[in-house]
Amino acid sequence: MIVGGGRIRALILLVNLIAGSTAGLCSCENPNSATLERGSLKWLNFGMMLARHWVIAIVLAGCLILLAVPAQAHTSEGVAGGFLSGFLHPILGYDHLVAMVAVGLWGAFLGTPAIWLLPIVFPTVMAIGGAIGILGIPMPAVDLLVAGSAVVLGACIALALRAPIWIAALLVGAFAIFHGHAHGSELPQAADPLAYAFGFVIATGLLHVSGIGLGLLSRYRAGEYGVRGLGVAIAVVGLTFLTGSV
Amino acid sequence: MVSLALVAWPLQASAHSPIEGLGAFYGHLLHPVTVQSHAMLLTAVALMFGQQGRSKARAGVIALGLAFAGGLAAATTGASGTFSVSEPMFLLGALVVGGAVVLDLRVAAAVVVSVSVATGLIIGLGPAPATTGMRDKALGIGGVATGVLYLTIVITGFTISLQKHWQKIAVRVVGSWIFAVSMLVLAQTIAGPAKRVAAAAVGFLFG
Repeated sequence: MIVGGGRIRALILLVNLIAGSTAGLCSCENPNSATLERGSLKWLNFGMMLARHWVIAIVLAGCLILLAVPAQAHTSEGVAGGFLSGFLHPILGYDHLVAMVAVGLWGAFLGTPAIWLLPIVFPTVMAIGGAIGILGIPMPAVDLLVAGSAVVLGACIALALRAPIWIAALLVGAFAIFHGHAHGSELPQAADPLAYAFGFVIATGLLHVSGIGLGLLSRYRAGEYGVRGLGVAIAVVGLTFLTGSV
Repeated sequence: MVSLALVAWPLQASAHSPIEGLGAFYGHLLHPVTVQSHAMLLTAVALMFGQQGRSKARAGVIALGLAFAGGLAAATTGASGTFSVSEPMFLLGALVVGGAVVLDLRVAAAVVVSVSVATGLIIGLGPAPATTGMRDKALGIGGVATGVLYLTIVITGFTISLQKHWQKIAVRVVGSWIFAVSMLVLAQTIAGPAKRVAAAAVGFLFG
């Protein structure tokens, strides 16, 4: 019997994923078994890699944490209360969120050393921008450039642009100053500035990690298309904010 | 990871026993973890020790322990006089050491020991255990000393044990977070005086 249906193939994949073994695939007896074997094994390897890759597990856990909505029975501390409000600031500001994820995505896309360098450059330079914002030194078109960063980084991912590391670091660092300025301008209103700063720096880092985790999928052909698609989505979100702030 | 989680989820800053009912020893044991600026500085210093390798790290931990004991003794006996430490000192220390962790700087043993002595002294000279009675005071001192040394040794040892490339990068990422938080809060601390000085300068020049 020819086994060519997508559902059956998915079922085989699922069963083998659960069993954690490829043994079941090798017993097919039909003219298309070799094709099926190759096709299924290809997808199976992909699935097994996904299932076993601890990075994916951590990223999924991170995403769940980021998606968790805090219980807010009492909101006495206001918008800029402490750790939680700092933590939520980059997550609830979607223009910040997509840009942070884009930094991780692009880093993963560029490979070593960018995958590690960009998430170090971003918070370090962001702090300088934050200090400028706290000191009340005005910077031009902050909102415009925060939104613009999502457009540019999203486009870089979508076009699979493999820029030299120094250009990537310079670009990400330049955008980080404006993101930091936007965060820093809100810090003086925080009830507990240290906890607030902790919150948004850690949230920023976790968003980068989420981006890196998703970006690792670009090692596979299908994953690369997915990541580039995410780049398009990020650019579109950025464009929406950009048109809103113009 | 537990240490990082504790730093990431700090409680309200408190100079004294942070949790009611814990008693003098355990209350002060948690002191270096619950006071965010102390935790941040100690974490940065321990990460830096770990980056320097085993022998320099050992010298650093010993120097930090001795300096901390000296500072604590001076603060407890009143030998420190009117000198008092303030939050910006901890933040500045965390900023500088956090920056060194980001850059993964390899420094001479003398620099490691100097950083250790400075860190140990300012943490030791911090608020003395506010307990009544000799027994509780001794327990409080024992608790805070145990907490400081335990946190430092655990993070240093953990950092030394990290050998893979990505693990070493993760240490630098944590350093960048400490650098960022320190710079932001330090900027806020000096923002008020800086604005007043700027306003006075503008008034002097153009007024």
